[in-house]
Amino acid sequence: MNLNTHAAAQPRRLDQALRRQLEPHVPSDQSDPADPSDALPRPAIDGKVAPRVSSNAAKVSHLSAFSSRLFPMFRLFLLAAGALVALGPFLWMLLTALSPAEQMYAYPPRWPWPLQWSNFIEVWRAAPFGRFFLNTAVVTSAVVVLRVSVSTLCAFALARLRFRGSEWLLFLLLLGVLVPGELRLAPSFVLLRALGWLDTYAGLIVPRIENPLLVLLLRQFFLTLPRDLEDAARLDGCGALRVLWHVVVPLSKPVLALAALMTFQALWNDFTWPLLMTSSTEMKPLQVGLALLSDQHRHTQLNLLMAATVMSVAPVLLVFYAAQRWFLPNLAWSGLR
Amino acid sequence: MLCLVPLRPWLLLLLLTAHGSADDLAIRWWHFYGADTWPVMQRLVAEFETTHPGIDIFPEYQGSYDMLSRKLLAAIVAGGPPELCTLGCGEVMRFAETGWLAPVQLSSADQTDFFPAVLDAFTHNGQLWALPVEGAAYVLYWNRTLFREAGLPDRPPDTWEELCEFGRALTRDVDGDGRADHWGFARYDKELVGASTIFNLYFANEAPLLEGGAARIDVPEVVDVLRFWQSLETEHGITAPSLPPQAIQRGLVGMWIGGTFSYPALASHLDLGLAPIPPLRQTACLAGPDTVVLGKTDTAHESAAQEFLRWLTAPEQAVRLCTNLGYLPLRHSVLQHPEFTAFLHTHPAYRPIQDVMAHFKTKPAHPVWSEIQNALNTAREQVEWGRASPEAAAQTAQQAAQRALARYQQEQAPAPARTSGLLVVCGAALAAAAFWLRKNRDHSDSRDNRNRHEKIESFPPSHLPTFPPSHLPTFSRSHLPTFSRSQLPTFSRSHLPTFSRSHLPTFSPVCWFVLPHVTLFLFFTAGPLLAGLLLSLCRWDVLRAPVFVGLGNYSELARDPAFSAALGRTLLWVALTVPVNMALALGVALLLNVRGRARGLFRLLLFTPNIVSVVALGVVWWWILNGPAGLLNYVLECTRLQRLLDAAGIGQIDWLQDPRYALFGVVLTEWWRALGAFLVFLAALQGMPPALYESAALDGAGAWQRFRFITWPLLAPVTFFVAAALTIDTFHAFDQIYTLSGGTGGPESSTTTLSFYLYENAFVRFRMGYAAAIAHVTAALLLVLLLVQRRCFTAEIQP
Repeated sequence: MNLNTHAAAQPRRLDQALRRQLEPHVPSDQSDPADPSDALPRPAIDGKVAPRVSSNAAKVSHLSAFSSRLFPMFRLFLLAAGALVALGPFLWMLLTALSPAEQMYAYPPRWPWPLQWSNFIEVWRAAPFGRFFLNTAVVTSAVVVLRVSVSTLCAFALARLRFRGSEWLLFLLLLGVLVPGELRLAPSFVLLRALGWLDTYAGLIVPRIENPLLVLLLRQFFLTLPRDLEDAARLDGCGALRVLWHVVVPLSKPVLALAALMTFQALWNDFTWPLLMTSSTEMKPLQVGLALLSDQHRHTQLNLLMAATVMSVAPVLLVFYAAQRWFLPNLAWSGLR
Repeated sequence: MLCLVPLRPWLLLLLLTAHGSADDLAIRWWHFYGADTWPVMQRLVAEFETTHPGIDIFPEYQGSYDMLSRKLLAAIVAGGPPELCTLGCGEVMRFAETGWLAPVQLSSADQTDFFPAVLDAFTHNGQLWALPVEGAAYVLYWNRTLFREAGLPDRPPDTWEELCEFGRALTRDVDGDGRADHWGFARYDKELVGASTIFNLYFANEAPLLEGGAARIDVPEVVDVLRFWQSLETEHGITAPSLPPQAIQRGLVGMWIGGTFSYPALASHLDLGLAPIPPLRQTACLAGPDTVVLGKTDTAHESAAQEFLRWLTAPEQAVRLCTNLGYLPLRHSVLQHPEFTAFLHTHPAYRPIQDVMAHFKTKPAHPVWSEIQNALNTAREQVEWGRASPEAAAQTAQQAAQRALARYQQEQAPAPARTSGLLVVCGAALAAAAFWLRKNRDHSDSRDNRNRHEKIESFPPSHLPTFPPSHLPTFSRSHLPTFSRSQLPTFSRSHLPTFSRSHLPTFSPVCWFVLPHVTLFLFFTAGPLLAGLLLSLCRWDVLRAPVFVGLGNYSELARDPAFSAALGRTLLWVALTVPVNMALALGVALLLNVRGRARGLFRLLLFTPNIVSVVALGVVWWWILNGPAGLLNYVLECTRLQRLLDAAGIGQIDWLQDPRYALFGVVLTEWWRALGAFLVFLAALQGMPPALYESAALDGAGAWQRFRFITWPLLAPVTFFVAAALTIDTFHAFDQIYTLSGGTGGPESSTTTLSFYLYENAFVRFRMGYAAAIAHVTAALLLVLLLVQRRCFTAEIQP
């Protein structure tokens, strides 16, 4: 698709575009480093790289007054409102975590002062949180790596390799997704006990590697990848594994990163499975450890519970921050700096 | 270094375990003592280990009552219950019948020392099945500060008439907005679980509730209590259906009935007094001792466990639990123990406890008591919110209780086996599978072919899922040349002759790809599912062998009004949640996809709802949604939206406790979470080919048109996937409902969706077979829903 023909219909804009093309350092009024089209490789036509026609330049001419002036403000307003709503409960959590005990129940609620950072230290001492963090980190990272790789392999086979029983497998996987997970708990417990895996890392990791939904997601994605690249790779003598590794995986980085992040998040916050499958304090992950802070009878010390929750949340935020450059490749380098 | 400090004792413990357990008897003790209770227990355990060198106690925290009983259930199924397990008093009888518990041996001296009501509750067939370790009773709390402010005498009320009179003086509107903000009486001592308070009144009014294995709920004794309970709000106006979160802790409530265990925490910042609950026909005081049961193991372990249990409940230890934690003395010798009298001397507030001791009542011990209690709670909720008259509510509860009891008796009898059901089910499953396979084969073939051709002919394709086609060019430049070069030398002879299109699919052993996942899947999903399918044809209460009943469970489902109600609620829940969630997620993704200021920051901020675990959010949302002083209602008030509601005759909404809105309250939290669910959409939007937008913009397409004719069709496969995943998630949603309803699915079962009903049957009523049947019906429904969705989206993909 040659953009020049379209751009020609817009002499003034084309002029600006050409000027930009010739003098790349000229700052344009609407240019934004985060424009997705900037980060994209331009399509190669007849061996030549297509001239760079800024999508901004093209767009702007057709934007009405609303779009060009009011929309960014409107968008900012919407985002700010959304962020406020999204953060509200989180902020409350943080403030409660910093409240001194006697101000927690103040009514009407007021800004906690002085901020009691010692709550974090106190809660860290209240239970072996170092160990809980370690357990969660080990289990979560192991499951993320294993789940994504195992699911990728299986999804690739289901998407690309014809084999006997593949439809049956697909059908089974779908059934596995549909039936509520609660049903899995009791039989899994029996199985883990038979294997001697209760209260071990193996029991926390191995049964949670497989996830039919993830396979279905990845398969769906792999089906959309162009086959010709793979055919070409095969012509060059690649085996299926090499095709997967050198062709499919690089193309699927965003979806794989997304899968990893979703797995990470689900695993980090999972409560029921570790509760059932661990019993000793040394094996407990963070979420179950948090429950140690509340007692059946007593009024939980909310500020300590919230401090612990805030601590447990921080790593997820960090991982998200680090991971987004993988699944949002076009934006990550420009938007965040 | 900082992180090593708290680790050290645990490492030490690990070493000790490895070292010392060779000849010592290891006794596992599952308990639910957290927070400040645990250090006291821990000291006692350490002391026991030093005085009894041959026995090692391994206490293991297992969560709340519910979690503990679920866990014990699972352990029994798996054949490995711990030697000792703490249980709430309501749970003991269910486990006592199973044969998995060992009876507690108690000397006759000890037996007479305990208060009789305390031991009676756990005696069945002449055996004692659990030993109460600590107990709490319900007493009347009164806030002395508020009493002073209201000009009342510095003493608790003696009768209910007096209580109402005091309550009227205490109920005030301090800030002058026309709504009361201080209340005379609270009907709950603790939010989320406030259900037990009213049982004090039932017992005080000599309500029989359960007599000789028959329910006695629709009797005047119960109806009177319910009417009185209602009159506290309607007639006396001293309480409200729901009070602000933590109203008691904030010192907004003058009097309430609460457990003695709350006293230490509350007394740290409130000036409180304790008193016996005023009598009705008699003085009664509900006591709920927590017990420890003995799991059946070998003689040596059992006797060691008995030893520890007897030691823990001996007066010297028991008195420390009482003085340190405010638990009740459960035996005469503790009451007279010098340490306890000294404690009463220094803590005069506890003195009224002495008076209630003689009036201990415990809830009836019966295997289906939990269900009867649920029925009674529903009746109370109906009355509180004025949704039924006390008579009608009691009537409904009576019927529910009778159903539960009848079912229990029926299940005790052996059932005739029916094999025809199995055949029908297997046949149906096979037919469904065959049909699906056939359809799917046609579909996938045609799709593959289309895929091949159209990818080449038109780029970008208009209807194909093009998740990130933008990455295509990256690949072609960077990857293809590198490996083709390296492969070139080996390519020449060996591959060319054998290469042909028909060989393509079989050029590598597929099993290496599929095997890891399939093995795990078979073990951990398919296996349990198959077990579940077989289970749904059986009647199984976990503790005894399953009995085959054919399609009995399914036909019972068809007749079960609670199931159809839950089904309707689930559909409503899905209909309210899924479309709005999708719209929110897509909207946020679209806003974040437009270039503009502070995008990275917003992305991070908006992502936060996603990362906090549902369990932690329960606490937060409780503050926001609950009652008149919840944050949401405050915001409504500030933004004048409340006036709209007032004008519509709705008034102030209690989002979690009012049965009419409770489900909607949970939906609100889901919407909030959806704000952070933009990831998949955003990733897909990032992959959209910008060329299309450019040409559309050049052709004069507006923002809406570009969305409608480019984004939406290109996004359709992703939208379908998100919709499907979300529907599945929503159908199975359990944690949020459990947390926000305090584990009850209430109020009035208004949040009992299918997944919660499944949980209730499996883990509260121990009806695993029935629960499995629910699971499979849910799965079938879900399948239908997904097929409909797919049909819709296929239409969208190929217009």
